[in-house]
Amino acid sequence: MSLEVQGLIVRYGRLVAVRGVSLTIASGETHVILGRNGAGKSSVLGAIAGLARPAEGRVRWHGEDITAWPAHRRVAAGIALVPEGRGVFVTLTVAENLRLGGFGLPAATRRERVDEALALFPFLRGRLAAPAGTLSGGQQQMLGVARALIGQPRLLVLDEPSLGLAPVVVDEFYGQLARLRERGVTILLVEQHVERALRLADVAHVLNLGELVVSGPPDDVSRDPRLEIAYLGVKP
Amino acid sequence: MIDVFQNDAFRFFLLFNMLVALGMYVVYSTGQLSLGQAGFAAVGAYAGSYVDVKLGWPLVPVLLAAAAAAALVAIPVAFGANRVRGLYLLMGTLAVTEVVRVSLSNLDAVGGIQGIHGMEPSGVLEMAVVLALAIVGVAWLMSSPLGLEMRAIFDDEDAAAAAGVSTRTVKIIAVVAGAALTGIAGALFARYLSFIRPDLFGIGLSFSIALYVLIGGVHSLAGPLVGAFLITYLLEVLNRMQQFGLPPVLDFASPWRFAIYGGLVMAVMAVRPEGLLTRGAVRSLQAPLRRRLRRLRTSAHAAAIPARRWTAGEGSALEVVGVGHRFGGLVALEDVAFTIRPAEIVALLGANGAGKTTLINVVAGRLPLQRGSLRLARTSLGRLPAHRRTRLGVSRTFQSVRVFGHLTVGENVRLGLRAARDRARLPLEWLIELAGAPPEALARDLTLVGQRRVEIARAVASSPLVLLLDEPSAGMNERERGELAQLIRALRDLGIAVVLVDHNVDLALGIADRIVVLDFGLVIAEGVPDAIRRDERVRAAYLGTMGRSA
Amino acid sequence: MTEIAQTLLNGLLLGANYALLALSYTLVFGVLRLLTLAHGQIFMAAGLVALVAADRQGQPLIVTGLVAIVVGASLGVATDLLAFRPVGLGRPIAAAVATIGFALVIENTALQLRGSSTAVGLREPLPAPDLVLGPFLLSTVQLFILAIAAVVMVGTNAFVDRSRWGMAMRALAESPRLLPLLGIPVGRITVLTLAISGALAGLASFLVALRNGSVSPLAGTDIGLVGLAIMTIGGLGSLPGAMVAGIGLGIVEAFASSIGVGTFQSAIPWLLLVLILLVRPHGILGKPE
Repeated sequence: MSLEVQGLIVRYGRLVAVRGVSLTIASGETHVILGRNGAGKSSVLGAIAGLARPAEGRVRWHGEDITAWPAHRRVAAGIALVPEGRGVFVTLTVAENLRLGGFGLPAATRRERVDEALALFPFLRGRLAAPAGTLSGGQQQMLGVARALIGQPRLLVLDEPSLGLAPVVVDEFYGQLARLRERGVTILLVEQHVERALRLADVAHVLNLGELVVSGPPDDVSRDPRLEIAYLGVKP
Repeated sequence: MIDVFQNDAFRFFLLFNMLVALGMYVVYSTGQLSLGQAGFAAVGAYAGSYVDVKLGWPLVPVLLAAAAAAALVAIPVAFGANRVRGLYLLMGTLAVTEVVRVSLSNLDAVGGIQGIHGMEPSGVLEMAVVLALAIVGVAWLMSSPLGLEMRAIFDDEDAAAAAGVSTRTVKIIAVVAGAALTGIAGALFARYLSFIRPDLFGIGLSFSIALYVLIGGVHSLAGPLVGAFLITYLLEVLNRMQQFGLPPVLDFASPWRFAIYGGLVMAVMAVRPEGLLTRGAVRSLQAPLRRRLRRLRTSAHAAAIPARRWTAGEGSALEVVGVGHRFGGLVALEDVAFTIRPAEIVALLGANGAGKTTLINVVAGRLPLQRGSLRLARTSLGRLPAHRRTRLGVSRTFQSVRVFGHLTVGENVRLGLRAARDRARLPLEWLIELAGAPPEALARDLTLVGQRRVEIARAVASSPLVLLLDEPSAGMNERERGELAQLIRALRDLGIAVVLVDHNVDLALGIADRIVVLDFGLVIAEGVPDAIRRDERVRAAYLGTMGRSA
Repeated sequence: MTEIAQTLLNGLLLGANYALLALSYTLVFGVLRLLTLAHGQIFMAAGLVALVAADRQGQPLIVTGLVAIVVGASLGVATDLLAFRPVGLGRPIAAAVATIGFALVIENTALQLRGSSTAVGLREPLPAPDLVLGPFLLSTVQLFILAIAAVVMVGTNAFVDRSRWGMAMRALAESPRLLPLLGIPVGRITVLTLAISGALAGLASFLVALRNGSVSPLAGTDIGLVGLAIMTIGGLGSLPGAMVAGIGLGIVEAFASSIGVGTFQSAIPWLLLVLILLVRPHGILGKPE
């Protein structure tokens, strides 16, 4: 098991955002967490990436307890979070964003990795000198992923990557994710876009009001009535 | 203990510092951090001394002249201050102090760098009387509706505008009033010394005045007074330490005392960044009183809904026609049109980024109307600023709760009531019940859901014709959502047109009379809940196959 | 003609120092969005320590300069560790107040140790003007000051614009929240920023000491406030703005001084500030927040 989350509880003041979530992700797997806004998805990711300190529960990474680690240390250990929305520095150029992704690497390695990332996202090559803020929303998302890949993470965590993107762009973006998956990158994805996420994932989890209500293979989850309840709040 | 109070000069400057701190408090309670206070004190001191020496005016007219002169100089400063924010304001007001000082040094009519001499002396007694009057006056001001608006602006300028406060006017009044008070302090200072020179009113004085308030705390009247008292007292006590015959290293009369003071300032900011007296600290002293006040308990909302109406029975409450909005290259609203009648609940649905909040911001006047038109009943909202719209009857809540944290629940609601203008007002007791928390509790001490209820109560308190609710049920549990639904229906029955944006589709479908579904800034479906529930495009928009690609 | 050229040169010299000082403020504000009010005192203390050391040890000028830079950098780091960190990045007003406290500590420690009346002077007298460049008559020291200031300004800009660390500084300015997600600890960047900023203040102090020949323990407040005024005129957080405003103010002051405006001389930065803010509420090259 590469990532193990046990009994996670996240509180903001008196609000309990996550109520006892446990999940394990094996190397090379792609997991998706589904659920509507406010279900606690981002809080789970925050606890994994080190942005939020859980009130209770443990996060283990290759057997080591990393619950108390600061975010930058987890990055060094191979966990990269691409945050929701504009996860890129819009005032920095595309090239600078990419270079920042390999901040601690020797210059030569950094250049190599940037080249590799550009090979995966060729459209970025033409925009290297442009401020990242001039990219479209989808391109910014992909820049965020490209930047995360430069550190060669063992676990790539994505928070709502399709948020606010046009459908065509979402398709393209998911195409890229599928290619990463084939290359053996472990992926944890949070999505509102049920259909595409289910097509990509090995395992799907449904989060409702801070609790995991369903976990399993995508086919089972997509047929599970609790998925629709978690989204629409209605019983069909 | 060293008895420093026997020293007449110490007593005078203790009171003087408390008075100038009070002047600063009036300005800063609107969030405007001014370093121009020494300049205002100088203007007051000079004006007072001038009419004293040259015209022989007695004390009271002298002080009035000082106040008037300082206020006059403050008017352009206040308008200028409204154009800038934050650090630019700080630096701009600092420049005022310096420009006043240099101008006075070059003004031969007031003696240049020699200044003015030979004023009628007045001392500690006069100062004490003026300070006492000032404390009463400022206490009255801060508890008045205007004071309420000032403190609301400190907490959140945008939310204050949304609650119907004319932030510009209130901020100008605060600067001018604070300057007048500081001018009086300056005139008394001049009379105490019997002479006045420009270099007595340097930038250092402005910084000292700011420190009294920032160290003491701005969320109560006592804060600035305590800050001024403690700092003045501390420096004087350190100054007297030499009386004990301490070795030179511990001779705090030397510059060491200011170094110690500096260290204490750093420590206070690290431990209490909002100053020594936060509103919470003041209130905990009044705990017994608070317990007696806690009589109003939450009961079922439906119980006591007032019957009075202010809304029209027919026509349209709000017409949204062809509204479009862009952020740079991003199209948030392409072309949105819908109408809502009085006593109707319209829910706006759509996935994240569909443009719902942008639409609310455009209707409420937080974002400018770029394209299309908005009509409230028969009034065009056009380019009206947010606070005017609230006064006309467009009220809103924010997606991320924005209550005035340093105001009590009761004060939050009272602020909303002020915006009702000539529309029939809802009873305060009912609104407090609606807020669901003790009226004397500080809003920032409540849970997120508690704050949300206060925010809704504040919005309802303005007797709106149109109420825009942005994610009111976020973070609420089943029971709270049930109460919210009941409340929204009750508001509709009062004749309010409610526009509801909520991620809880169940809630929206359950209580709305009509649903408008947005996708990529366009209305893709409109109809009664049952029809929307069956609409394939809507299911698609939520579950993944977006409307346009399907 | 020569007189105008000479005044222009004086203005440039003064402006170069102003620009360096304003740069040191701007770096802190640009990266951390925090105001430091202790830099005037850091400026003073760096110059004072360097000159006192030079007076006792009689070391060459270059060592004196290095001492000023090191003292400036150390006090800059101390600002971060003692004033900013305990308060936190999210409380700009409390952080600024804490730096006022730090300024009081520095200034009064200096006063205590040196006394208020004793300005420390350079032991070696400064060389007289010995170079003629077209219409300009200038000394080696002046040329040295201009050259150093120019190199450092260009260097600082290049560092922030091109280096990996400068990139991280600009990234921090945009979002302190995102930076740790790239594996970069925020604290390391804030310390670096304050160290460079303090070093710039120390260097500016050394160059001013070269020009004036002395430093007084009481010099901090006034020069510090002028530095702040220049940063504001240039536009908060804009490095080019700080340089343009600094050099511009130096030239304006030099010409004002040559025609003689009396005591209004000290109000020039502030008058300029008010004028600029009325026309451009965000300074010459600043951007709206």
